[in-house]
Amino acid sequence: MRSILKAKESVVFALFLGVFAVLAVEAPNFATPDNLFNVARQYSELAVVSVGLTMVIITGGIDISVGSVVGLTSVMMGIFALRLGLNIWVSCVLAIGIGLTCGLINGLVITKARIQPIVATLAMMSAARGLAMALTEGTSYSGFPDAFVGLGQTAVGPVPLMVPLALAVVGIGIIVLRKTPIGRGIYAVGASEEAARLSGMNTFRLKMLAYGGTGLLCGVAGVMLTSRFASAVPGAGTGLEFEAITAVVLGGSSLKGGEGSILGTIIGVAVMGVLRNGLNLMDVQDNFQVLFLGAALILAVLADNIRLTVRSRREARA
Amino acid sequence: MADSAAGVTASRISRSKAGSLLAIRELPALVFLAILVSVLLAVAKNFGSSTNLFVIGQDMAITGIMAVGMTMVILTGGIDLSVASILALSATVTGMLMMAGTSIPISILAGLISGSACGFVNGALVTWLRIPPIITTLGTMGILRASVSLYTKGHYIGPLPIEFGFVGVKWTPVILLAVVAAAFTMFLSRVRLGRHILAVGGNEEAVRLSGIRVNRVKLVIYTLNGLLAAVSGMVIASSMSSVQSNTAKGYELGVIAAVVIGGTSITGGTGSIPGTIIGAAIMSLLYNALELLGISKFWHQLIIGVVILAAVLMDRLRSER
Repeated sequence: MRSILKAKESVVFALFLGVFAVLAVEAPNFATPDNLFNVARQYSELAVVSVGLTMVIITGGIDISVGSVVGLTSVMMGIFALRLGLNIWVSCVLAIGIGLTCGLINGLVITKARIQPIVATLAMMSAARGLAMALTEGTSYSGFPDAFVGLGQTAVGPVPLMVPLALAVVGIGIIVLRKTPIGRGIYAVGASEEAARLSGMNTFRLKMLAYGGTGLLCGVAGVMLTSRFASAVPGAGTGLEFEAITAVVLGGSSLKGGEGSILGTIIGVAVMGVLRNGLNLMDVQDNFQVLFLGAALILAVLADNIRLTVRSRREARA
Repeated sequence: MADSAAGVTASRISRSKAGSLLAIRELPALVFLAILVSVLLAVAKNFGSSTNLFVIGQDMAITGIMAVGMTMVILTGGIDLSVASILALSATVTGMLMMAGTSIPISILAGLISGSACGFVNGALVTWLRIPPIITTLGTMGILRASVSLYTKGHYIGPLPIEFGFVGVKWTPVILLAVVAAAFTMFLSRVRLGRHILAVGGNEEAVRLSGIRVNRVKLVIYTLNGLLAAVSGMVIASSMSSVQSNTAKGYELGVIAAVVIGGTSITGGTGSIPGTIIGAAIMSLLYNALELLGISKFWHQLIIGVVILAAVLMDRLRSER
């Protein structure tokens, strides 16, 4: 029990339970399997993107270009599969490759040109969205093959196909971060880049993995989104960066780097998904939802501050 | 840490030998601005017309006034993503009061006070509750924008009284920007609190240990930033003669871009307000150029992203030389 309470994820998990309990009582049809699976399907792309962003934030960086890269990948799906008439699965791979390329460019600008992550990814945010707009001239693509659209819309039993896919990404992310030298390296870079470098770690490669991996996952999310909506819209993923950052921070990752977990992030995604869905069911306007989310973000960090203060006082006494 | 400490020294030197060294720091941005203006003069026929210059001036003032506040926030090592939401909230307060028949000066004053109050709340969250600036202002960005939408119920507020129009037309916005820029440049170099701002960004711990009340400095900066966002809000409301719940949505990125293009380091400690004004001019002229040259609006965002990157890369190359 003690160790559960001490876990960094406990704050966000308590928040999740609280939100869930209130909505189960207050929101009509909230606690039904159909509805909950639907929430999981809608938030699977956010989960995938947030896995990458968690790694970036643990290295002490940030990536605000994720929403734009998701949009660009979605548009590229349309261009490869519909404008150029390539095979749909080849298009998926190519589109994911575009996402990876954006991530690697971010990584190179940050590591080699030593531009601060927020500035580098701000430029990418504008450039990727701009490219998506310019390539399509603002129009959208639809008419993807049924086999592809089916991926995002069908379910195995009650479970939408997107959910196990997202969970697989989450699982791989957790294993990489916890069990591999790469994962330990990512924490080390975030805790102290200088110390990591001096102890012989290749900090360049670790950062490239974090930003490149995030780009790759944005690519995957872009393909998932295109399949779920059965269309490619240049504005897709707008504002996703803010939702993802909120989820990661709610999940207990420190923006200073060195601390955080993918498990926490996924609970953070779940809080956002459940909260938005429940409030929708209660006919609460979108504006109120934004207000709640903003307040939840600030309160979660405040709660974490209090937890850390209590812990350091206790340690000081002991 | 050593890097930013050097930054503080550099800015001190530039202050003492004002002319020569200051000119160097803003050089890349200035060169870019000169190229932009010459291209525009050569290629675009309507560039020099007074109507077009007023449009550029208006746009530059709206971005620039906010960017002056943002420069100070970034100098202390912080950031404020909520400025565009503060702008919308203050403009809404002023607009609603005017529509209810309150006198224009009182309405403006109420708007400016609301903006400062929002900034103060940001500052309080950042300093007293120790919530990181990016999280605090990400939260208040959503909360304030949502409050405006809820309060106005999505309705458009206007048309505002004709007498209010003077704030946002002809040369008034540019004069406002010049006054704000001059006042805050003086504040940073001549007033003790202002000089503390650069120090806080350089090495917060050292500054705190030397007896400066860091929290008070930050609280003042965030409040002033809110006030300046409200001033920009008056310019927008006046020039459009109306306020909507999505007024200035997304402007925070242009403001941050202007600050960064102007050579201010996002990690704090180095930077200047004249640089930021050049950055704001570049952003406004660039938009104007894309429009005048008839480049499809779908290409604008891509070009702007590339320019931001080019500007920071140039700055990096210069500082490494």
